Amino acid sequence: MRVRSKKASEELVTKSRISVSEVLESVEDQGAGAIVLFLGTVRNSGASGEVSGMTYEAYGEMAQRELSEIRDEILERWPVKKVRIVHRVGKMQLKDISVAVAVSSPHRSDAFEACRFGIERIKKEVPIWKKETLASGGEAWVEGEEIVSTADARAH
Amino acid sequence: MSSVKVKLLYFGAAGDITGKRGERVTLVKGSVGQLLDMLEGRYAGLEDLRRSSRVAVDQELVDEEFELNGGETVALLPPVAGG
Repeated sequence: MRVRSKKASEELVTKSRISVSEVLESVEDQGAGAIVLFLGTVRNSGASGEVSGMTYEAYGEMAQRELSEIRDEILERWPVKKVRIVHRVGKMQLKDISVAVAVSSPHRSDAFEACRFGIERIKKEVPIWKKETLASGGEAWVEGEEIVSTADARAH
Repeated sequence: MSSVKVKLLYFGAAGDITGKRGERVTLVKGSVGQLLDMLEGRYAGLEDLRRSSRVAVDQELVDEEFELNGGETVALLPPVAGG
């Protein structure tokens, strides 16, 4: 029997820096001909103007569960080998990696599709918020999207 | 009328409006909507946020008609912005 996902206790929400090499190693697989990696990074501009940093906040337990469900759904829908999702929370600087989604699969098209699916779902279903630190001083919550449940999203 | 106790969690902009991350409240037994009505009276600015927010009871998204029995964790979730 093939073991598809890593240990259940795997950290999907972290306060630590995201290590790209750790993420890539965790999806390495002898049956994989492709690995697609998406990284979300903190950028210097937003709706409120120039940004100098970002603070992410999560409903930790619920976020962990939602991320785990997204990972499981990828494993069900695409013939992929391994999936690693990790979202960082806390205070971050420009260029820091806030989220990583990595997928390995025998062929590249599945890995690209599954990875794209993963990050799009994360943005709609996971209880995470971010507040920009503005270069002009002050802070502003990033205008987000109304959260949808994983079950509702699956129905569409 | 019986009363119930729930634990509230305020995330994102809800934390700024209430000035806290969460609290425990006692209320007359009722729905999530009735709880939000009560909170609106307590915190200025919550009315606007309510329109775009969802509520999770014990980590499951629910509608405002959801009846609280007491002992639940009720989280106010403004529009999310992960990634």
